[in-house]
Amino acid sequence: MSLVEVEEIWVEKYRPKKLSEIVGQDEVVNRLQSFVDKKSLPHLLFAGPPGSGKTTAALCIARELFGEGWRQNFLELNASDERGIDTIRTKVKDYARTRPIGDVPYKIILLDESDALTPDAQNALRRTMEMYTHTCRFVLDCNYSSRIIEPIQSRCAIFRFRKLNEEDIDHYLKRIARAEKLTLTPDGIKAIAYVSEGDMRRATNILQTASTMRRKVDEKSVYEVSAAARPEEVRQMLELALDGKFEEARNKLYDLLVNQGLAGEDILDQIHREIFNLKIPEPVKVKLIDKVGEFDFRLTEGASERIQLEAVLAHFSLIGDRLKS
Amino acid sequence: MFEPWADKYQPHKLSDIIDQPQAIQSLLKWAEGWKRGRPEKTAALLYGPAGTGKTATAIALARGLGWDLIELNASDKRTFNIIQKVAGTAATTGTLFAGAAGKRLVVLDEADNVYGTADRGGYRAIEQVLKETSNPVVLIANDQYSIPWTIRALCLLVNFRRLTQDSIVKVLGRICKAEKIEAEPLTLNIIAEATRGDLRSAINDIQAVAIGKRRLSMKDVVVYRRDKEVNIFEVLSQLMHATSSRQARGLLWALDRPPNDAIDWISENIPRMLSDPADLERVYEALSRADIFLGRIRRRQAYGMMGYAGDLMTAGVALSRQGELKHIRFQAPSSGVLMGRTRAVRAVRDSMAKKIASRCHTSSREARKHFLPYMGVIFRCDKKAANRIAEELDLEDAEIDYLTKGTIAKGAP
Repeated sequence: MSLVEVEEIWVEKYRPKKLSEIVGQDEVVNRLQSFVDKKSLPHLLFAGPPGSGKTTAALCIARELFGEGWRQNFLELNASDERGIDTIRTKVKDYARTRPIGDVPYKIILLDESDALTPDAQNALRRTMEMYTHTCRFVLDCNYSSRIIEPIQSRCAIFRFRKLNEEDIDHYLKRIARAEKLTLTPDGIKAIAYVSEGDMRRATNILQTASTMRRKVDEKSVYEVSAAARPEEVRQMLELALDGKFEEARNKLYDLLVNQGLAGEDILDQIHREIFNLKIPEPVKVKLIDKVGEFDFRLTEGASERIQLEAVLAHFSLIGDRLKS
Repeated sequence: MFEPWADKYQPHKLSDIIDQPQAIQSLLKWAEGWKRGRPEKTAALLYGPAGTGKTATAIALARGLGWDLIELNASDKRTFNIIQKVAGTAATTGTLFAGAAGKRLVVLDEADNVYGTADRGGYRAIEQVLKETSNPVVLIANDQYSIPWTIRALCLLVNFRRLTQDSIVKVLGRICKAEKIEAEPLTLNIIAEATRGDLRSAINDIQAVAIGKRRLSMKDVVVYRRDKEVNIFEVLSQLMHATSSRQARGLLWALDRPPNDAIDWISENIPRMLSDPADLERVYEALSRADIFLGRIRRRQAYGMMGYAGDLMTAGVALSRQGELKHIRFQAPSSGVLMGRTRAVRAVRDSMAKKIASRCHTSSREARKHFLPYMGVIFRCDKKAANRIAEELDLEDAEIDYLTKGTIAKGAP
């Protein structure tokens, strides 16, 4: 991290610093607050959709428990970025070896996206949790608690974060707009809530991006942002394929992979979302989503992105041809 | 007088052999055993693709240890009498010059092509020799499995790998320098790429295109490439006219490329030949399935799966077609070359995603999906905010470039 504390990324600049500032999770926050007040913390399992406040809650707990020096007593790991459970275990081991600084007798380890770990890896994690239970508290973040093995669930206090609604987002974004002296129209908020699908991180990013275009953020600027942030080429590529112009679609694909450097899984993700905007019968959309999912799975099996994405386009070509006749 | 450069520049010392450190190490250990007596494995089987340095290594080994070298060709009928003499009983006395301490290294080339294969007499003779020899024997073959297991069991197995393109380019560069030929950038890469890890054929090829020239240009090399590729197009065309799965899968050999390479040629050309979208979809389903097997092979070194991948991309593709074929101009796979170029862009994008992930308490994937696209807009719209974000994330020039232009400058790391 740079020495000068620049905070230009709003996701960080306006991330709640205290539990009480977290929006839309009152029950969760109340229970967490009482742990913090008693300075007694069990292992925690946070489950809920992305951008609902799980990581923020963990950060707030650390700040409130440890005060100024919270960073020394807080280790953050992301299960999907660490290379396997062994790396995680090594990092935990190194970190847990030294005693916590200050008057709280334990440190906190946040393991984000912990449901990205396989059941085997989770079993290994469970042993690690037990080994360091005197010096460390684990906070496990996941989207679905059901993907966490029973033995870990039983060792944790489980908190379910709910998906944020328009009201929550309204509340949060207005705070930012006041601080940044922006005009944020009601239809602008509505649009952000819709586009961000209740994900506060995305909502904040959209607001910040829209504000760099114009100081007044309304419905129009929000849709401009989400269009500009999403490569037009994906839609064009799909339309070409549906139109039977397979080769042209394939060239577009190469352009996305090559010149824009997009990863195959990101393109599939865009295709997935773009399907809803295509002018094709609704039941066909569902069939296409099924197909896209199948090819996404093949990618995770280790197949190559180019061939699999070309196969997706071939499928779109066939669907397009059937729709014509 | 015409002297093949492959001979002229043949390596003489083990240290000149390129890209085979493991093979050399295990051979040296084996030779060490022979110095102390008669090791359990009396022979070493050097196997691997052509032009990877098997014979050169055997020769350099003998030279380095001061052993006499006897090179024999297994496909020659007369070889067996000679082997019996030199490697068998007659050899117990040691060599003429070095006395009893010296050894003779018997090198049996083309061991997968032994004379008398039909009645297996040849292999039985070799087996006998390996059991009795008091001198080290080296067998050389392309495919270890073409040698009966009774013989393999007596041998130390030493695998030679295809050379990397970089290594071949380096050797070609040295040769050009020695021959006072100025090679334009990338010309050597094109030759090296086309030979797929076969150094001898790369040296032969460069001699063919560069001999008598002071300067090797892109034009020379492009012509050379076309010559090399004529054949593969014919095979691709035959593939799409194949009517049985046996016939189609047989053509994989004619393509003369390993399946992970062949699939690029097939997927580049075959889809453009199809006129019916249903054919297209079926062909790609077969390619997709083949590609999954290739992925499994890559991930788990499950080389036994290669056959399934090969069959799906040939027979699976050929028999998926029902409609008419279009006439097309065949071309070499473009995407493979292109994907190479994206590596730099991807590296920049990934390093930036990592910085965002660590700053904003999230994963790289999430950063790629939900931060980078927005950052791009901010960087294009608001210079001041962009500068501060660049400072906050400690971004490098290439990363800023990527955000502002959606790509990176040529020649960036």
